[in-house]
Amino acid sequence: MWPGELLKRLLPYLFLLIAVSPCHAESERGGTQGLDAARERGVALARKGRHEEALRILRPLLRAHPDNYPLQRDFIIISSWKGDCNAALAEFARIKRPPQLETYFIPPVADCAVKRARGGDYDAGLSVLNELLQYQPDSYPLQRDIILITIWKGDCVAALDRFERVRGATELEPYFVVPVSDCLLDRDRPKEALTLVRAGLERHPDDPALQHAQIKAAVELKVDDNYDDERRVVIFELASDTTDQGLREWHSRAEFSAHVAPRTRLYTRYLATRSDDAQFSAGDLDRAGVGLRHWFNVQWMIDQEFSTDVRHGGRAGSATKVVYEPRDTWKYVAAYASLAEDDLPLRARANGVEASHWQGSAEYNSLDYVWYWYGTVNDYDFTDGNRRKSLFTTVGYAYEMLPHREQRVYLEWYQSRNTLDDAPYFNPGRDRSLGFVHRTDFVFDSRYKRHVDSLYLTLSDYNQDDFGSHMKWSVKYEQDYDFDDAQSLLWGVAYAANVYDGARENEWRAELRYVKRF
Amino acid sequence: MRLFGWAALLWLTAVGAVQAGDIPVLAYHDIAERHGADEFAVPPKEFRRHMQYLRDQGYAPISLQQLIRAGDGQGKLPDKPVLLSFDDGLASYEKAALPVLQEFGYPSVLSIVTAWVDGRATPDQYRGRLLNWDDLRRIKASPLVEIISHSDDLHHGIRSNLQGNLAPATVTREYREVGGRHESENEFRARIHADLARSRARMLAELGRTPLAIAWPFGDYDSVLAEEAASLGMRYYLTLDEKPTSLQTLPCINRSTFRKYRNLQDLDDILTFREARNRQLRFVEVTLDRFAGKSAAEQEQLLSALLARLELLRVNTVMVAPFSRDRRKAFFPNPRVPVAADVLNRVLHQMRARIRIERQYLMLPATPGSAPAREVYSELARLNRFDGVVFSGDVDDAGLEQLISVFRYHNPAVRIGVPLGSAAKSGVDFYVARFEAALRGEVIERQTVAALQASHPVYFILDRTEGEPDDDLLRAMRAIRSGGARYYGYSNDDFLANAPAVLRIVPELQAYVARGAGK
Repeated sequence: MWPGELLKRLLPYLFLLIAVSPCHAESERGGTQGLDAARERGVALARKGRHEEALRILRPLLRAHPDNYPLQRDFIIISSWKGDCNAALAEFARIKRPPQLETYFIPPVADCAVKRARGGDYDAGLSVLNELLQYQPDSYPLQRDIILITIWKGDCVAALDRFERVRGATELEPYFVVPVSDCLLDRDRPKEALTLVRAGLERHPDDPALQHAQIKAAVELKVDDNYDDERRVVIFELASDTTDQGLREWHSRAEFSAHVAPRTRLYTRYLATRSDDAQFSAGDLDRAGVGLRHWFNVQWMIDQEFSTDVRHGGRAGSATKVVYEPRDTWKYVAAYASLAEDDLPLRARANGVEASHWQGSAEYNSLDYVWYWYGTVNDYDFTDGNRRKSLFTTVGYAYEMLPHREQRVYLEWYQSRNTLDDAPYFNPGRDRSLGFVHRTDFVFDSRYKRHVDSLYLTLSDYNQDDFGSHMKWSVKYEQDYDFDDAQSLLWGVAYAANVYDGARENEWRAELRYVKRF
Repeated sequence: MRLFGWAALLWLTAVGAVQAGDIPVLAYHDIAERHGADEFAVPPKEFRRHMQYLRDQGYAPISLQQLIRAGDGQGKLPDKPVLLSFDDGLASYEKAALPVLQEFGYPSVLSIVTAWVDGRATPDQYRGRLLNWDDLRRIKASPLVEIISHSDDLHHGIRSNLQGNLAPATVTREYREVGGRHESENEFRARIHADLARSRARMLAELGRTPLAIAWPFGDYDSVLAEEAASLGMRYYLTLDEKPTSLQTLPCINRSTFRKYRNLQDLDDILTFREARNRQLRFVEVTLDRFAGKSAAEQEQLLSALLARLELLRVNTVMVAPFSRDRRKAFFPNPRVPVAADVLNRVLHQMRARIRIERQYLMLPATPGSAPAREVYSELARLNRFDGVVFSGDVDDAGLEQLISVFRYHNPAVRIGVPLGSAAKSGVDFYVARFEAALRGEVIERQTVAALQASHPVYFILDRTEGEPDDDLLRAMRAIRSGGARYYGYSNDDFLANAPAVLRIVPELQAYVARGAGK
């Protein structure tokens, strides 16, 4: 506790002490008038700064009346004013706890507890503060001091758990914000650290410790998460599948982006899809787009893109995506595309059917990578009058995390509904599936920064109105290489035994994604 | 010469692939939930998982006696041997670790600080948490446990400099305010001998046998300690150097410990030496000229600014010049070169203590002005703890050998670097190549590829000139990485003017280079 703040904090209580005078209140109860008068004399001396004289009066009284609460209380307060926290806390430990503690009594005891913790006896300090907290459960200063001592003790996990209780507090003292931010960084929560520090800087813009903490968090995000990356980036994706009733289709997408302003990237992209079957060539796409991604801060990002069909001129489209990441563990996305692209079935495109697409999603990743949850709702508005609404959610759990192997299970639920009865593309009136996925990651100690192979095995029960329930299964193998900080490659191949309108179909899919930063 | 050869071998194995014969040695401390200030603690549940993991992965924990016998050629070690050790003599060893070790049938080594067991100098944080002599006598009865010394009372800090920093009592020549001088070598040796003799005597008296090894407190040791311990029968010593142990490194047994333990990956990193092998050094060169002629308060402000800067740069290595740029003045007390400011010890100490920079190298001229190098460097090595030295200028084998012996006497694990192309070869652990950051990228990349043909690892330093655009340095770093450099940094960092700009330089400075691209 800083002296200035201590004084500021104590002044109202001093005033209260004088105005309300608990010593008076006690004395007026009668019966112990001599004792109260002596105590009162001591308090009066203490108020004048003559602490030792006051204590000389109170000590013998306390020896004679060891369980006299007002005497104990005033002795503790005056000892604290004098800076003798050992005496104050020793006496505090003796007090038989009353149902209430006077509000002016709590700060001097709390200050002594902090002082003791500063001396290295963290547990003793915490024990006193936790006791005080029972009398003032909503006290911000008490919570703050407990959090600080817990951090000094080296327990960031417990400190951050408790920090949740005061997250909305507006005081944001630099001496509090900086260690909490360090803890957040220690626990791989850089976005929250930067958000907290920036809030602190709004209140204390010239504080050098906060300024340093801000750069530290920003560096962490930049290095580990590529936040506000200044490098140019090329992304190339290629996929081939037979998911549209056995028709092989090729999808490729290339994107180039550059840092054009702080937290802003400009990008251009080209998308091409091709069908192996010439009769569906009308569904082929060649779309070029240009867009801007801007991060307002680490929590909010907007992506606005405009695109046009370079094959069939005039089919312009726009896509907007807003991403909100309030915590390092949570991510929410809302997106709208006036023209759905390769997520539209080939047969729909080949028949001139287009769609707009709304999407909302939420994702959770626990900090220890054990738990995962994802949920998304989608709404396609087709130009043939069909309206498709779908929901997908999955929850994952890592039941084994060994250095060379991680194993996870996922439970998935999917359901959709289409409003048009007959459509040239797969268009179930209502369907749903419950799936179980097993994923094994093989982590290799290769020459690269990271190399993981993943094997997915999926089994699900699929139910389509009018066609009953069928089992579906799939297997997928994937390799993911982070060669270094600038290059990564992911490729995979999958086989699925699917069911459409009651008929089983075997499908293959292969995909590749390459990212290069310059 | 043989010593230098071994040191070079050690370095290579530290960064090379796991070699047949490498023996991982784990150093545990408290086995307790990590809800305390002890960042070395491993939770009990995790400890059990460790033992299970060792079994699942086919590791065979060995005893210290087994290791020593194999070293003496009297036995063979099993495949995948591992040695388990526990420092400090904490009660959790008996309560949490030993039952699990016994269940698995694994031997272990327990090191004790005899003054703590006696209650003569127990630190506050260890009160009530240590084994006593009765406990130890009970534990000693187990054939699976070897109890060794962890010193009598050297497991604490003593004053190492004018400014009052505390450094390990094992290797620090104590700074005495009275007279303003450091402990002499004779005084130091006598103190060490007395301590180790007391530890041996107490263990003999209480446990009925003398220790055959010692685990150095904080892992730090020098030749004086090794000699004194050996003279008292403690021929084998356990360090915390992050290098593999093998039969050839005996009597030195290097260990790795857990710091801020997170998960099994940490254990596997130690067992496979992966972390050490994959570590890429990133550094800045720091000069201390700004500290000259400043008051103590101003020096503290400068030091704070320097530490804050290094923390933001996230470098894991710092190269410090202990002489002024013109080499006429020194930043450490010595008998020959005028002292500009006695700050080196404090700067090194604070870098290690406050921002955890574990690798500190000194940039040294082969000849410090007109003063005799041996005399000046002997004092430098005696009073300061650092991990390596980099000689500038051309050094021949004979001259280098003399200098290396000075530094290795005080720190046997110290690493030696010389300029690439230098005539000196023996005892060298790495080369240093310097490029001007303003050179064209293709030139830097080409020269990097050529430099990496050298017989030892190469550290690349990009010389940045004042006022040079940051883009030059960024481009140079990309080029040096394209060439395969895994150890690189730059000079002339202006920590007061944020030059180069932190947010621009750090991503390039910290970028990972695929292993195998270069040494």
